[in-house]
Amino acid sequence: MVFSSLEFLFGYLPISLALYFLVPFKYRNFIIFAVSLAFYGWGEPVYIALMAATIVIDYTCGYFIDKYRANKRLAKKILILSIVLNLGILGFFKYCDFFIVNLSKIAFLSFLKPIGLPLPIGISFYTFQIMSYTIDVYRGEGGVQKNIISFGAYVTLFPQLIAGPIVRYKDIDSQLNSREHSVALFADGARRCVAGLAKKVLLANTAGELFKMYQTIPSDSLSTVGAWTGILFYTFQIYFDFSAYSDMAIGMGKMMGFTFLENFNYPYISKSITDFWRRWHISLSVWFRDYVYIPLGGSRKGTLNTYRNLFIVWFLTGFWHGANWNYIIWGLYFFVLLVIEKAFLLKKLEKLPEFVGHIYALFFIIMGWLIFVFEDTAAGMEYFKNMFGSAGFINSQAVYDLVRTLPLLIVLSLASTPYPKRIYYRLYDRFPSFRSAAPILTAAVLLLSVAFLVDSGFNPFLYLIF
Amino acid sequence: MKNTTAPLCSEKRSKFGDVLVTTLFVLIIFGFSIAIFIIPDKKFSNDENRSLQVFPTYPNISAFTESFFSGDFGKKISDYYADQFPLRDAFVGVKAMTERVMLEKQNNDVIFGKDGSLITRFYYPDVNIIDANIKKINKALSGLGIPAYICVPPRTQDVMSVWLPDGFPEEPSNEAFEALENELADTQIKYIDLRSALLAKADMGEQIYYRTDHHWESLGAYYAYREIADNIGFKPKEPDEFSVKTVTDSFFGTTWSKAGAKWIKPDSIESYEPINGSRFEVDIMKYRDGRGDIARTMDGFYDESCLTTKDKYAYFLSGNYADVSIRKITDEKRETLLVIKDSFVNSLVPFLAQNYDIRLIDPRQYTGKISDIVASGDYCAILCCINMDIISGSDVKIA
Repeated sequence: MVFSSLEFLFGYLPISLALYFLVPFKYRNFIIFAVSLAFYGWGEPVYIALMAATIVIDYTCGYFIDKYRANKRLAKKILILSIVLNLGILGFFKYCDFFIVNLSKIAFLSFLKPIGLPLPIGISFYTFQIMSYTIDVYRGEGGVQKNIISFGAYVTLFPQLIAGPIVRYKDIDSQLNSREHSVALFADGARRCVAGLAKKVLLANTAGELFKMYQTIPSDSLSTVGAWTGILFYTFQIYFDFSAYSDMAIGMGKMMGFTFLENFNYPYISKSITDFWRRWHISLSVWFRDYVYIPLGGSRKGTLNTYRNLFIVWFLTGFWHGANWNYIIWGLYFFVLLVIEKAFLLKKLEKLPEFVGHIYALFFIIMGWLIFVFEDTAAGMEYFKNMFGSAGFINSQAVYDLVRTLPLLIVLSLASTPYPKRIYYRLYDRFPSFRSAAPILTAAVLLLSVAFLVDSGFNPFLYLIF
Repeated sequence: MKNTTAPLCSEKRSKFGDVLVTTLFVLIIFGFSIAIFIIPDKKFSNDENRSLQVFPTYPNISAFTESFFSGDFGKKISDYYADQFPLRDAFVGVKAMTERVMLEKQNNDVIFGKDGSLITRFYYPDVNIIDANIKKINKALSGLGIPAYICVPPRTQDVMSVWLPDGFPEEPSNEAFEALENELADTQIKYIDLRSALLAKADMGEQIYYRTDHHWESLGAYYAYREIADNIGFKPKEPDEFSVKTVTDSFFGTTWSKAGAKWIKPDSIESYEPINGSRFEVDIMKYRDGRGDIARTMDGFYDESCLTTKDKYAYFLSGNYADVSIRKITDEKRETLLVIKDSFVNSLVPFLAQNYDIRLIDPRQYTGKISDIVASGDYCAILCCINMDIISGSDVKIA
């Protein structure tokens, strides 16, 4: 199930909220666990068993790591066992076919055939999340969770189960055992949730449909202007899609008293690629920093090792996004850019006017999405050539479709900046009448999003493929 | 940069606002959730002309379990919400209005055209689909010993340029017809170019397509008939040999349903009857186990009962059937034309039947071979008349 579906908003969500608030606090984690399992199993009920196994494995490992804490070597062995098991499951379900397909290209291995298992929803997200538990317990940064229900609630927590933010155990440890509920928190959560829904339904889906339209244009008719407009729509789609999911997760978390860390911070106003990766999918970058980069030695062991560590992190970041070469290339593309920035470019950029940095960053972000969106690299190359004029600079289709979508493009651009929120706060602070009208606005945006949802069967959720 | 993600500052926070947001949110979420289950399910949507998903029920628990674990139950619930959502029509209208406010010139791939028209938008054609379809049609129609013709009714976008927004790109339409002609050049089938003739009429200001439906109007069909006559070489009836009657002025067609543009006015449908008083019979065949029987005989081309339904275009020949025969009630010996058809032909038949008896075969439903039909009957020619939407967008099943 995805958040931006009618059955979630008008079936699952009210039932879950009602159950959650009707029971006393001590049963609330159990309710979260139960409804989250239902949420997870909705699409692929059989994978509930996989989820249950994962929970039991890591609960047990966490328990024994804590118990044998004094025996460093044993504790470490248990930690390694849990990491191997988690990565093994992820590897089997997500990457098995990728390796099979690539190995079968070798002559004497050509008998290998892909298995074609459906990917368990959100496995990339929750595997990382659950690994942070055993690691945090091992490092002593998070207490052991003795209650398997609370532990299950942490792992399956439906708001962020399938598309993040990836919650590290240490950030949520204390909230599992006690958290506050209030009308103010619920109201904040509802506002955030509606904002996320609107971003997904009104902006991301609309932009996505337009990008899909540009993709159907044959390469001999796709002009430079058309190709750039198309990839621009994808650039907006992926940001609004993904950040909307985080907004809704944070919002629903708040309703239930959880505070999740922010996952996006206006990534398209970045001044460099380094800046971009501090603003984009923050919980993933933080995860790789804390659990891969720093354990490898980070930047403390000389230039060469730093670059090696960065290479590993960015290779893995790319590969995490999908079991395909284009994602690996996409990750390494950022490795190269980040190394160049680290070596000299950042210092150069600082001396130049700000807009140069913005243009530079946006250009490479957009080119990155080009690599990202085309799993078929040959098709990606065709599109790339179109962006640089292989079918002419402009044609009547490009002009017509650009003009008709210009108001939308302006809205999308503004919505990518902090201005709408700043204006909202300013109005809120200055005008008491706006303070009273704002709830009506929230309700209207919710209803408008519902109108778009009702209108359209087009509602693919991009991040479900991870 | 200021920390933009901080919550609203507490001293300015309005308790009233918090309570109101919470109340409205809960009311909307719970209100619609309850309403969808309380309001009785609708079985059919007139606007969309299709059955709706009702709440799935199962005869026993094992049927449910199987459906649940196969994912079928989830799919049905999803469809149920989409189909039965309260105030569905109003919401669809709100979406269309929003697009309009945003100065968007289309909604759900339907263009808000001039003069209150709603036109399906087609993008660049997939030339491979056109090629494959023409190859298949050529294979089925050639070498049968009788002349074969093909005409491809254009889509509204291809001819009603007077309705299209300024600057609308013509290339997608042109490319589709160029690909069609290129492919046909290698075949024995004679191509009848309807688009040029219809474009000329449209440019002169004649309304030859419906504003709210994807079909041509009877007048458009009449001009197509004249073009076909010129190519096959028979003498068409003149306009003054028909009496024209408006049979309904409340026709909301397919593009209206898709666009959600509730502010658009309905179309009217015209019927053409020859003034010489000729009468016609229409036999609709039904097939069971490969054997065909006459399921129903219509008196004339028009089915009045369809005018009270949503799908008023079915007024012509009562809709689409696999195999339909049209005869003039007369003693004179007439030639029979075999027509491979789609729904555009339904409104063309009242004209063609003035010159020929007709056998209509709809390849979307008919499963037999064209060569068998030709071998077992006496036909003067074959006319294939399938519109560009199908030729360029789907797999024509013909053998």
